[in-house]
Amino acid sequence: MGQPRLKLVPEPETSSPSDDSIKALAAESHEQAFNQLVLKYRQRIYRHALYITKDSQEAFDVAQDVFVRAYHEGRLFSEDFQMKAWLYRVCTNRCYNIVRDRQRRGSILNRLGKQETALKVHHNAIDAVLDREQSDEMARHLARLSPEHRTILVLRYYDDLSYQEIADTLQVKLGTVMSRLSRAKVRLHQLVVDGGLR
Amino acid sequence: MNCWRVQNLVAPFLEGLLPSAECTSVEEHLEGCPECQELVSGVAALPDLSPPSIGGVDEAALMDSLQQCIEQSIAESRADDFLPMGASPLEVDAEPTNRIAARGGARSGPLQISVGLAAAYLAVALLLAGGVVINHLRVRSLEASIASRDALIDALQDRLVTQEQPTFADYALVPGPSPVFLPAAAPGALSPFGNGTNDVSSRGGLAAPYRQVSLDGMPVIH
Repeated sequence: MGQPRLKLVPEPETSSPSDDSIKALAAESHEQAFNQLVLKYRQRIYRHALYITKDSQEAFDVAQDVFVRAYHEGRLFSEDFQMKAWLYRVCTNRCYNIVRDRQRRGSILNRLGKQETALKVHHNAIDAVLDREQSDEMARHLARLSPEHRTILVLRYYDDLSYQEIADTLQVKLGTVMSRLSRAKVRLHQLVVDGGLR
Repeated sequence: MNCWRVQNLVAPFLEGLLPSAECTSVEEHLEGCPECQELVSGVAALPDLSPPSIGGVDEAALMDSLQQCIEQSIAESRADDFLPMGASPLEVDAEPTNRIAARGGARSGPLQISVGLAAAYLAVALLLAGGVVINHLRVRSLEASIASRDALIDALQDRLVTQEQPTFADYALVPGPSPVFLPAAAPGALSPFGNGTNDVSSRGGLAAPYRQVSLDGMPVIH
């Protein structure tokens, strides 16, 4: 197509203030620090929710909820608080609750129940792109993985988190991240081999 | 290093993130294990996992809208907490939540606390007042009951004193419920029913002295 393709890759860290500088700003103004936090992470959290829910409107709602919860989180700007890991963790948990509820109730009913919003055009456009992506072989194999394996692959290869950040997000040890990520890739390889044999 | 261990380290091994000692161990194992060699080369040949891409979607507008929705939600939640309304929550310099947490308190306003305390005092006062009233009523009821009981006993005693004790033979003439017989009290013992003896044994009817009572336990009075 003639339109440029916008890659859903998180913005580089250098273009936004570091988490430490946001925490330092919080000592002067909580609101300004929170504003910086939202500006830095809004797109990443929305996209992370989008990768898991595969629904733009739901990802939007999850991202909104994550930041509202962050605002009320008393430890958010504490020195030893892992705010990036916290944001991804809350987002991941909310997304899997939605996915689980959707599986229970049925996706068709869920889609029918959605409200018409002014952003529907944007959401529909993103959903259409995601639907096309779902036809991609790797995306289909990824969707067949367990939530545990899918989550760790999304955090590592879509969200571009480091092993340590993944460990903080999932609240597991670094060794667990290595082994879980390895098993997820081995399982994905098996699915690809089995798919190729059919 | 065994096959299971290699399978659990394949991702960091291929990404060059294993410590050198473990990396060497994996390489040594791979030299002598064709199955693991095949597995590692297969995982390495997987296509890159890249995030979905968007074409022609104005994501910036979506993000601006997301920011506005976050601001609105926070403003609503703060209004619920009796905090000032109207201004954008991302511009007003409210007290930081971490300071509130350090204070050990929730985000409650002084008005909320006052209303809560007043409600608690009112509930306690109502409970106490209710208890006093109920106690008073119970005492009055007991007093009335005791007075009526005393009057009844006096009346019965008066009748027992003035009237002759009925005998078993007399009983056939008495209409009403059938009498039952209870053992009489020991001779000489004080009883509201008199000395507790009758003459039925002398008539060959009952071996022991008995007193007559009706089915409700009260002595039969004629």
